[in-house]
Amino acid sequence: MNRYKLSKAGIHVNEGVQRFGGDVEYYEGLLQKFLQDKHYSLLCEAVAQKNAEAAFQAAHALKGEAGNLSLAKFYDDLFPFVEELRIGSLEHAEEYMKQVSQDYEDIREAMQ
Amino acid sequence: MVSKLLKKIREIFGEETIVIIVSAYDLNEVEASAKAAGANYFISKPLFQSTLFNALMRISGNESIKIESEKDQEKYDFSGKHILLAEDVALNMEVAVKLLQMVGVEVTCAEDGKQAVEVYNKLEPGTFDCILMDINMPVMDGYEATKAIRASGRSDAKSILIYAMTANAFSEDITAALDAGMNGHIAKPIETKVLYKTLETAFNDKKKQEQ
Repeated sequence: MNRYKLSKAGIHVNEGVQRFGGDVEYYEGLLQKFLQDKHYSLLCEAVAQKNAEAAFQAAHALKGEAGNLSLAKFYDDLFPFVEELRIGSLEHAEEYMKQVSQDYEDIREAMQ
Repeated sequence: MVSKLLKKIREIFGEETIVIIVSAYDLNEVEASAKAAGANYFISKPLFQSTLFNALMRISGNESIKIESEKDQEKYDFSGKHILLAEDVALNMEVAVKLLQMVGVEVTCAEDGKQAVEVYNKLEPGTFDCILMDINMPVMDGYEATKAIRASGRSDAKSILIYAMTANAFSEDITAALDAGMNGHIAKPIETKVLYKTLETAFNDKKKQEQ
């Protein structure tokens, strides 16, 4: 785990590790699990199919995960997207997806 | 630079003194030269309590005596408490379970509101000291599940502590949680201090009411 790379990807590593009593390995394991989690691909699919309800469920789950794992930038960028999807709107979905996808790729790269 | 410093340290303090280099540089680049210059151990920054502890344990040959400091005594311990946790997202469930187990809580999990109600109804009244309920869940949401538990007619139906755990921290959501019969609200992302403090206060208040 390269803390510098993770920080550059908008992850508050210290905060995340502290949440789990300083257990670095456990936190790293959670980050790996996050990358294998289905909700990001579910979000991509739902937005492509213009299914606002399914997109909301996936984005909401992702936001929760992002918060728990201190993926700060990802969380911040998901926040307005979730609120728009909550009211069933996909008006700015394309812009939001662009940003969120970039964040996700940054996290994935930083974990390699 | 490092070797010069280490030489000086060795001159003054001798070979017996243990020298640990703490550096923000990548371990691979600096470790070899630092060790060659006579450092005993290398830790990369940021310095975590656990990293330092592990380093000291390794250097001391894993010989340690646990001394309870004042801060340790202040740590939360909910041993003997049993919580029913309803959360539909697996990773968030894992995190919540871990945070609760870290302070000794026994956790039973439910993947949605309906499952939570079923588990609650199946086990003896008094099994759970508290229910932590996500709001936005498939099949049955946290509000409905809370209403069902409160209306179940079981001996602890009205008294069991139920807290909402949700990112919906808007005031209308908190009002909705209270209206559904919940005792309160813990915001997500979970802040351990808030979670533990809320549980401690809730358990203490309930104990006082029962006396």
